[in-house]
Amino acid sequence: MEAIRQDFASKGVRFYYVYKALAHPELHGYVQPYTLEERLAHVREAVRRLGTRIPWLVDPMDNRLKHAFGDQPNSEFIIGPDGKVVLKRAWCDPQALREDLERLVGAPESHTDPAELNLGAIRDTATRRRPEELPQLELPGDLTPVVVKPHLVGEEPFYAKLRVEVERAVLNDGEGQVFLALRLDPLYHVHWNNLVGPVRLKLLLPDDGPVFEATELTALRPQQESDGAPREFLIRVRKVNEGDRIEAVVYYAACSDEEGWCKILTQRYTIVFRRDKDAGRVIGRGRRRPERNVAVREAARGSGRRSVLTGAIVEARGNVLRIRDSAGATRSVRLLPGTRIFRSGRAAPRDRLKQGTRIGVFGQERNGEFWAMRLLILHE
Amino acid sequence: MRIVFHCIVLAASVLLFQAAVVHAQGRRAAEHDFQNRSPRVGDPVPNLTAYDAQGKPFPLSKLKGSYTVLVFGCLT
Repeated sequence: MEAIRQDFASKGVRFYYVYKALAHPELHGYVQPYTLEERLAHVREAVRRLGTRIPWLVDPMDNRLKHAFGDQPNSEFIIGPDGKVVLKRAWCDPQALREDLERLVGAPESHTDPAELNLGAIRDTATRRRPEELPQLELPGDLTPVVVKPHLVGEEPFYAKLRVEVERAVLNDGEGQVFLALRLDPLYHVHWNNLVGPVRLKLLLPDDGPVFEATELTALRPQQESDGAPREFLIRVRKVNEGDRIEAVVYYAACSDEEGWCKILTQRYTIVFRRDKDAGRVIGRGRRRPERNVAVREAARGSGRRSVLTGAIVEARGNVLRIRDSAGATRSVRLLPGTRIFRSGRAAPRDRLKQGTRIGVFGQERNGEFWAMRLLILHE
Repeated sequence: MRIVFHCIVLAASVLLFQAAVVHAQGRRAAEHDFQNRSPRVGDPVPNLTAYDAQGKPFPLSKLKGSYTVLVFGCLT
């Protein structure tokens, strides 16, 4: 892109990178910013590390540009002199872009080889070795990030940032595991101060809301004086309704060697049990099939023949659907804890399964019912 | 022995095919979403305000006047 900019600058073409929410937080150690200032700091970091010359625009914290321009991680647009979209691509393609620009403004005099520009690369931020006392948690395979709202009051940054991901079953069925992770933001070059005490997280729950197996979470305290490893918790929750809110308070001590300070901090969050489409996906996490899906696994291994059943829902009650199949017979379809539901190629929530909805079900006959492994909404 | 080997190869092929289909469906769905949810060719740029790298408001209406390429991305 930098090479194309260099070549087409003489043709009057302007270029901008648009910084938006991280598509892959935790890659190279970076975490999702909480404030515009932190996004601006990421831009400065990118310019410093990559040596880019194309100017950056920064999406406001409500992600309005990301949403308005189609929510893709690496899209590109050509805007005409009249301010109208001339061309758009879901995934940036520099070679195709060069050809498009040649068509629009003519071939440039030069053709710069990107290798000539000596651009840098994003490397991992300095991280310290994970203390042995902090074992890597074994996470479920189908985690989805939910909305986390930091209570931004005063000048103090959130040196440690909370990210919360839940098993899909939590949003679908109201019960499952919740993964809470606190990571130090590399922008601030701080470390945990283990001399003061362990990192603690307290969950404040409404009376008629979700029920956690524990509300006072204390991380293991490494023996070494300081470290930068994430503090992670995996706990079970039940009675969750999508949209439920809880409060979380984090207590930790952090030190900055560069600025010569140590602080004891208390910072608050609201956690909303709703999928956060702007939270990005941590690479290696969240796309595997549910490993704990015993029922589906059993159905898959069962001796019965797997088949497809289609029909319209006559009644939806709990995990059992009564459907009228194409032959006019009424059948019972059981939804298993890991039954995956799709609509137009995308995952869909269970509440889309209503009376009259036409569905296709892949599964097998078990105990007089049809156990659904995958379910496709055909028509609503 | 040979039959077992052929069965394993067949099962692996089916799994790979399924994975490829799911991946292709995902890409197609993303492309479909993008086409539907982003401004269409010929539409004016949304009337929004971003920030420049110094944190000053930057209305997208400033993009008028010459061909402009917008590339969406981030640090990771």
